[in-house]
Amino acid sequence: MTLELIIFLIVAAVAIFAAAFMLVSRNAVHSALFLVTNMICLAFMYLVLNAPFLAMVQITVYAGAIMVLFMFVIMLLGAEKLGETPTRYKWLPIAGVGLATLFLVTAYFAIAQGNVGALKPIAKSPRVRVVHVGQGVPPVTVYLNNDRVTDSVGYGAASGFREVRAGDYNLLVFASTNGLTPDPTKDSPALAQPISLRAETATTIIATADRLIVVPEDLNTIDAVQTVRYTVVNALPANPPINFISIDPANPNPAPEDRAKYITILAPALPYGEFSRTTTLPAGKYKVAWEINNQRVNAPADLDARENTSQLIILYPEAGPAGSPTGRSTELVLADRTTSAFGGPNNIGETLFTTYLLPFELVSLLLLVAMVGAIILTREETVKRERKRVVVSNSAGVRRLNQVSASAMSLTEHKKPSEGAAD
Amino acid sequence: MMGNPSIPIEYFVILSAVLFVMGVLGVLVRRNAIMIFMSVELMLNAANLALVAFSRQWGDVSGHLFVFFVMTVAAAEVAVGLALIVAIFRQKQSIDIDELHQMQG
Repeated sequence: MTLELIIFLIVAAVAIFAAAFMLVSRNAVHSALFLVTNMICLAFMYLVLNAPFLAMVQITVYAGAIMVLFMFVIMLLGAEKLGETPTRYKWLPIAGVGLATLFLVTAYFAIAQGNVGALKPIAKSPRVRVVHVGQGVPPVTVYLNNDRVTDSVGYGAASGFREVRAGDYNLLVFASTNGLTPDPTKDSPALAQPISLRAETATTIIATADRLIVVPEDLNTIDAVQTVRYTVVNALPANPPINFISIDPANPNPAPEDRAKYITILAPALPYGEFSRTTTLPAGKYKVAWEINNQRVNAPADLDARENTSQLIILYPEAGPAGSPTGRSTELVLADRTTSAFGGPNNIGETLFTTYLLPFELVSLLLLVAMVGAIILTREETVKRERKRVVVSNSAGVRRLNQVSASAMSLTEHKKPSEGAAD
Repeated sequence: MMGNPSIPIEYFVILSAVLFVMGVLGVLVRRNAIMIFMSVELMLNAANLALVAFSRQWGDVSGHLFVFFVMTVAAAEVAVGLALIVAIFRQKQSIDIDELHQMQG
């Protein structure tokens, strides 16, 4: 029995006892306080269940706002002193307890034998995007088997992510010179290779002049705060391995003996067509550059490493006017937000304003209607009119009843027509 | 990412079932309208607990959103319900539901 389990059992016991005392308490104010205790226990349960945002909302909205409203009405009506008259349905409490026990036993067996713990999280489907960095290559269109992943992607551009099903595919890349959509069944692809897409990964397909570099990235939550994750790709053809470095702005061009002090190597000795191991870095602004044999191959560039992003940094040849090679190189930085922590305010907010926007609007509308309804119900005129209507209908009912009873009496020898309807 | 397998989901679901049943009992047994409302709140809370527990099990945040909506609907329900109780109390000077049987069956 772990410590967590012991704490869970204690809090669960408190929650159940608070609910029980709420039920049996004669004083409505005590009941409300017991209900608050119960709700605070439930907020604790939400914390245990990775739902910190809901735990906070539970305390502020439920234990705070709603229970204050209850207390207000109890005190307003003086309802804590209103004793309960003996019920007319003597069998109801007994039947209720019996049915409740029956339901609990059934539910216990259903939960214990229903294997609810065997449910597993649904894996997120893999996502694919295409980046074109092949100098002198016309825009490319990429197919997975016979399904098109992107429209044509131009040189130096990247497509957005697209969700696909996990599995093994044949990756086909067509270079379209004439602007027509290629037909994967007839045309022959410029480049092709098998690809395996796994769940929970975001795959970037980088098309260079002569090959495809497939970079899988993990876009799940970064556990450490203030951290970015980065992967470096070398798409600069026919060069010796490259070092990706970060430069201290205080001394951008240090003397060879000071190199270790001012230059940090972020990805060492990266050959063409390879990508570095994914590593993390503290968030911040960096000056980055690439080196071949300690010689810079491009001007130092700014890298804005925002926290909770995953950065894909691709070094590729720069094209001059009309696609002519310049001999220089440049880099493309693709920064993607990683998913936010499960159950946190960011995660809830993102889901609320994307998938659940319409229900959210409807619920706000419902709240508005409820507010108007509460105002109308408690207006003095409404209550007066209602009282009048009840009086009128009562007297009408009595008159009708008298007629019915009179005719019934005259026809038969029954003494009383109905006992219940006389109210 | 998903922590805490040390407390199985069954425990949370059973706790939720127990609390729900206590709420049902409150609705059946108590005759003070405010007490009945509080029991309904207890039932909603129990359902919320089950939703959050299953949400963690599936690794899907939709359950949390449902809890959010349930809380909003509960707030609306309490606002209208308590307004009704106040209106009834003004008219009848009582909120005992046994004394409110206008519609007899």
